[in-house]
Amino acid sequence: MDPTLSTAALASLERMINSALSYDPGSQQKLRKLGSKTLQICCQGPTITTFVLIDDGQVQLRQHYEGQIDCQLKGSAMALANLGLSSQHSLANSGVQVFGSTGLLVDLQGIAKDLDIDWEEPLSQLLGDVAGPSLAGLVRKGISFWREREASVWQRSGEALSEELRATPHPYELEDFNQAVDQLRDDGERLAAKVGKLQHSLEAALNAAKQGNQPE
Amino acid sequence: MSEHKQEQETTHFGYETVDKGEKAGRVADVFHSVAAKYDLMNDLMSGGIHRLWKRYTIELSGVRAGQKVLDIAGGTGDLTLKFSRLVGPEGQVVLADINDSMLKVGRDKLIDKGVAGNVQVSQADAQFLPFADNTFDCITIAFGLRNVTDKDLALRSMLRVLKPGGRLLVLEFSKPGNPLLEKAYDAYSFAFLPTMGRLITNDADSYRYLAESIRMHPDQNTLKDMMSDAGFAACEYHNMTGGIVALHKGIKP
Repeated sequence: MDPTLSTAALASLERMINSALSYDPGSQQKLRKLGSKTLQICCQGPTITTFVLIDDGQVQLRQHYEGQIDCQLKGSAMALANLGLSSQHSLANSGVQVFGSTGLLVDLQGIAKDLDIDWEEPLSQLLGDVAGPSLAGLVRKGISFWREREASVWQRSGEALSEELRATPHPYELEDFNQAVDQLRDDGERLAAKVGKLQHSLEAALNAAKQGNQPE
Repeated sequence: MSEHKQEQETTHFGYETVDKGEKAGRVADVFHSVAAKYDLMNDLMSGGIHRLWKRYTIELSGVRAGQKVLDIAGGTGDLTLKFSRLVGPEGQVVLADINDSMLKVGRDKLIDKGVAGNVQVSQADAQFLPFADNTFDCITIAFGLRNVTDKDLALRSMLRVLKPGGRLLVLEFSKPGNPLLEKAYDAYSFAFLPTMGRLITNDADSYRYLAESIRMHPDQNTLKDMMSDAGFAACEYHNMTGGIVALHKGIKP
């Protein structure tokens, strides 16, 4: 990817995160308590590496960093996105590998989950002192309504799709299927390695036989 | 006088061939003319993209707290501003430019932004840097090398003042890789830029020089070879915006 595009994407995301933090002093304070920390996110398909630098309650996003890394995450784009969006702390079966301080990851997940933006200020700046607070109230109620029902909406939608409509497989079936695919991939790789080894031995034996048959 | 000797004593000023002694003065006139509106013109000409090119340069610099950085042709101080925050109070950044009008604008801008203490301003020629050997951890020259009369001499001068292991970053306009992009870029440079220069700074000639000097500047691989010839190791470049700009990096062995 052209560095201009990736730099633009990271600069925009960085600005968005820091703007959100500036309207949630609580989360910014929690971030400040973490001190100077660096998280490296290695996405393996597509291959993109991003460094998240946390310092003085601010977040910086970079493509290159040569300092010390506190925590490194490795996984596919889907697995990393799932980890970011889900509220569970466990990394089991998430498809994401973690190296270094898992405490930093848990802290960041907690801060992201508890992010509570005060919409009144940005909306008042944008729409004025009358419409801004009214719209902020609606946004606040909407977010609170969604948070209360988010878990049950996902659960009921999932049940309806897999059990009543039979449109998608049950999560357990999907998990079994994924494990079978992983097993097949591993078996394939082992078989390829064994074939390679046999081929190598065969070529060595043929070369030795040729050298033995040559007249002195 | 032999043809070779004549070649040695002349250089390019845009598409013109001028005496080597004349180029510095003519480049100085260009920058005296545009200094006051340099930042505004940069934003208008690049659509603000020059900030992304500079941000990427800062990332690749790997500059850390306590280090010494030289920002050659630093002009209005965009890179110096970022570096001064990265090196902190223990570090030092030198904003250098051959042109005093540009330096005055840069110095005033830095003071207005509250940057002081770890920044020094120096009027210096990139070909004859007035610093001791092995002084800096990092040197940057952004959109400045193409205006230097003797680029090889400047690269050797930069190598001298870098510490062993220090890195040079050259951010400069270069050659687009795609022929279609090159055509569009040519049309933009030779039609749009001088017109904009005339409207905003009442100076079309300076912006015509900008477009011409970009075309006369060595392409990516030539500049990489020049850096290697000057003595830099692990030279590499990163094309940006389809090669309109390239960031070259070299390490002092």
